[in-house]
Amino acid sequence: MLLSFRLAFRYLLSPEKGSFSSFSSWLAITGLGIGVASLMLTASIIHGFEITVSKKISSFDGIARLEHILGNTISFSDKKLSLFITDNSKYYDIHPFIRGMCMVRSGPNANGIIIEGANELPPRLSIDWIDSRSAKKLGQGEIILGKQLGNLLKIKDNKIIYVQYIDGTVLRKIKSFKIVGFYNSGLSEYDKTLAYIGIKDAQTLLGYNNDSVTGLVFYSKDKINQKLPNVSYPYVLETWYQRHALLFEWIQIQRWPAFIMFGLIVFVGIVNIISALSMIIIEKKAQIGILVAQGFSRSKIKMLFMMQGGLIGILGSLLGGLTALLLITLQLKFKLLTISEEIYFMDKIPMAFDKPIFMTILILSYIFCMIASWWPSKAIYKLKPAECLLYE
Amino acid sequence: MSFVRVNLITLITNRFSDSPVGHGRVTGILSMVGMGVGCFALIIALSIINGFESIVKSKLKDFNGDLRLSGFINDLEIENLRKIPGVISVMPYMERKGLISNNKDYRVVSLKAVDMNKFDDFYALNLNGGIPSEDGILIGKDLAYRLGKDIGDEIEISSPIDQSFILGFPPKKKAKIDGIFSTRILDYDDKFVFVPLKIGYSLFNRKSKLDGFDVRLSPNIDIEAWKNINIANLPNEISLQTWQDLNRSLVDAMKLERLATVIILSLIFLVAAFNLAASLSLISILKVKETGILRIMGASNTLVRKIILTMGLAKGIKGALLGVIIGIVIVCFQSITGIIPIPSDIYFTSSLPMIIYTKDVIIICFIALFFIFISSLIASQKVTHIKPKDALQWVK
Repeated sequence: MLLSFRLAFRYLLSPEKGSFSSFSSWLAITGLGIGVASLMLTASIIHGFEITVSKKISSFDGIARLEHILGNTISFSDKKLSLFITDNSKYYDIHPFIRGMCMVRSGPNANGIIIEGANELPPRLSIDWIDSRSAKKLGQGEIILGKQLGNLLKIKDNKIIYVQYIDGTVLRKIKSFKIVGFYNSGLSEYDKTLAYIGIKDAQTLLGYNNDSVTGLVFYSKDKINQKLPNVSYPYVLETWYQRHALLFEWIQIQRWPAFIMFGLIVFVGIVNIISALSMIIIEKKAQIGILVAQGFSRSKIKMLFMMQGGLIGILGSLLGGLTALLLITLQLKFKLLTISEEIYFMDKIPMAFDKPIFMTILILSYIFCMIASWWPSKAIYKLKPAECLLYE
Repeated sequence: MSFVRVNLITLITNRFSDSPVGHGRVTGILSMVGMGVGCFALIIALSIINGFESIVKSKLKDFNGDLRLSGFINDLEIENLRKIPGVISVMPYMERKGLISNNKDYRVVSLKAVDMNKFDDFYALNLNGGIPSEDGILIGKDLAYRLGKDIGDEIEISSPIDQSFILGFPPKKKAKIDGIFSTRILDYDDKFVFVPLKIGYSLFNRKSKLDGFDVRLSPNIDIEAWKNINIANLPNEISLQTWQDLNRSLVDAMKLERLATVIILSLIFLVAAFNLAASLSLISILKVKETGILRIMGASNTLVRKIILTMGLAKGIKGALLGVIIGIVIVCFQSITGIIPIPSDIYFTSSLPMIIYTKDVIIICFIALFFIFISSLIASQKVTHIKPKDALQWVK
C-alpha cells in the first residue's frame, strides 16, 4: 500500500525534466481546478444574491408584519392584541406602522408613492441625513425619501414637498413635508416608491384614529432565529419570505441550469483525468511490465493508478477551492465587479460562502475522480509483461 | 512540390493518429469530447439567451414602438412624419401619472393617451375585448385582477397632478373598460392604462399639447441606422430615441450577461485544450522513434511540427463540429416541438425559447478554433525539442 502510494506520488511529481506523466497530471489538475472553482463561484453568487435580496427586503419589511386579515386598521385598544405584544416583546422589537398610497409633488414633478409612518425607522436601513443626526427618528413634518425617488422628482436638498393622500373619492388632505434625508437600499422597487414619515403625521394625513394603525412590524432582537408566534383571527402574520415567495422561487429555479452548465466544465475536467491516466499507463507501460515481472500483483498496480487519480482529484479540488475562496474574498473586500443596480437589485456582484454546497461540490468532484480513475486502470489487466518490455 | 508535401503531412498525420493501439485511440476521442462539450454548451446557452432576449425585445417594441420623438414637437405634423421613408405608422401620445379607482380601491398608474383610431395599426398587443371608442379605456391584466374588474365594467380615472390648488378637486372621469391587455413584461400589465386622446386632453389640464410621437418602422429597417440618418433633419429641441435608448439599462444588462456567459463557458474550451495538448504530446512521445527517422531522412523541423499541428487541428475540429451539430439539432428540435417546459407563472412563456444566429455559431467556432490552434501549437513546439540522434539511440 505504502509502496503504491509512493509510486503514485512519484509519477505525479516526477523530478525528471519534461516528464510526460507529471505534465499531463498537472494539466488534469488545473483543468479540474478550473471546473471546481467556477462551480463554486456560481454557487457562491447564487447564494450571495439570495442573501443580499433577503437582507434588503427584510431590512424594509422586518421579519414579519402583523395586519388585519381584511386590510382594516387595527386598534391598540383590542385586549387580545396588547396581550400578544407584551408576550412577544422580549423576543422581538415590535413597532406599529401606517401605510397608505399618496401622491407626492415637487414643483411640476409628481409621483405616486407609498407612505409609511413609523415610530422607529428600520434599524438596518442606511440613511444619508441632510442635517447630521444620529437618532433614527423623524420629527413632525419631516420625511425621508428613496434616492431614486428624489431623482425622479428632481429634488435637491432641504426642499419642501407636498404629500397628498388619495383614497379615490374626494381630496382628503395635503400636507407639506421637509426632506431631512435620503435612503439608498439598492432595491429600486422600494427606492422609487417608499417614503417614511413620523407615525403622528401619518395618522393625521391618512385619517387614522389616535390608537389605530395599519399593522405591526417585527424586528428580531438577537440573531437567534426564534420561531414566529401564532396569531389568531382576525390578525395575520406574514413573513417577508412569504411576501416575496415568487422571487425566491425564481432564484431556486435559476440555480439548476447554472449548476448544469458550469458542471460541464467539471465534466470535461474529469474526462481529462480519464485521458491523463490512460496516457500515463501507456507511457509507463515498461515500468508496469517491470513491476509485474517482479511479482507485483496487478490489483496493486491498479490501486496505484487509482491513487494517482485520487491525488489528481484532491489537488484539483483543493486548487479550485482555494482559487474560488480567494476570488470570493477579494470580491467581498474590494468589490471588484460591479453591475447595474436598476436591473439586479444590487450594485456589485454578490458573493457569499455557501459552506454546505461548497463541501458537496468538493466531495462530489472527488468521488467522480475516483470513478473516473477506475476505468482506465482496468487496462493494466490486459498488459503482458513480456510485450511491455520487448522494445525497451 | 507543395502538393506532395501537403499530402505527406496528411499521410503521416493519419498514420500517427490511427496507429497507437487501444488507449491511444480512446484518449484521442476523449480530447474530441471536451471540445464537443464546449461547443455544445455554448450553443445551448447562447440560444437560450437569444430566445429570452428576442421575446423581451419584441414585447418591448410591441408596447413602445421602435422610436420615440419627444421634446418640442409643436411644429411636427403626423402627415409629414408618415412621409419619411421607412415609417409605417405614427402614434401621438400624452403620458401622465394618474389614478385609477374603483370605489375605495385605487392604484397609481401611468395614463397614456393615444389615438385609438390608429391603435390596431400601431400596437400588436395581446388584447381581450375591443379597441375603445369614445370614453373607453384599456387596462393591463394584473391591474384588472387587482381591482377586480372585467371588460365592460365602469371605472374612474383621475389626474391629481393637474388639480388646481384653489379648487381642490382633481380632474376625473368615468370610463368603461373596453379591453384588457396582457404583455407579461416588466410591470407593464400593472402600470399602464391606455386612454383615448380626447380624455387625455380633458384630464391633463396642465398640458395642452402632445408629449410626443411613437414611431414604428417597417420591419426590415435597421432602427439605429434610421435614427442616425433622420436625427440630422430634426431641430435640436426634439429628441429621437430608439426603444434601446429608452430601455438602456436593460439592454446593457442583457449584453453583459451574454458576454459573461461566453467568457465563463469558454473555460470548457480551456480545460479541453489542456486535454488536447496532453494527448498530442503523448503521441509525439510514443512516436519519438518515427519522428527521429523522419528527421534523419531529411524532414525539416517545420514538417514534424506541422504534422502534430495538423493532427491537433483535425481532432479538435472534428470534436467541435460534432458539438456544434448536436447543439444546433437540439435547438431546432426545441424550437419546432417546444418539448422542454419552463414554469409559466415565473417566465412569460411555457416552453424554453431557443434561437441561434449564424453570427453566434461563427463566434463559437472561432473561439473553439483559437483554443484548438493554441494547444496544438504548444504541443507541436514540444516535439521539436527531440533531437533525431537521441530519438534513435534506444532503438535496436
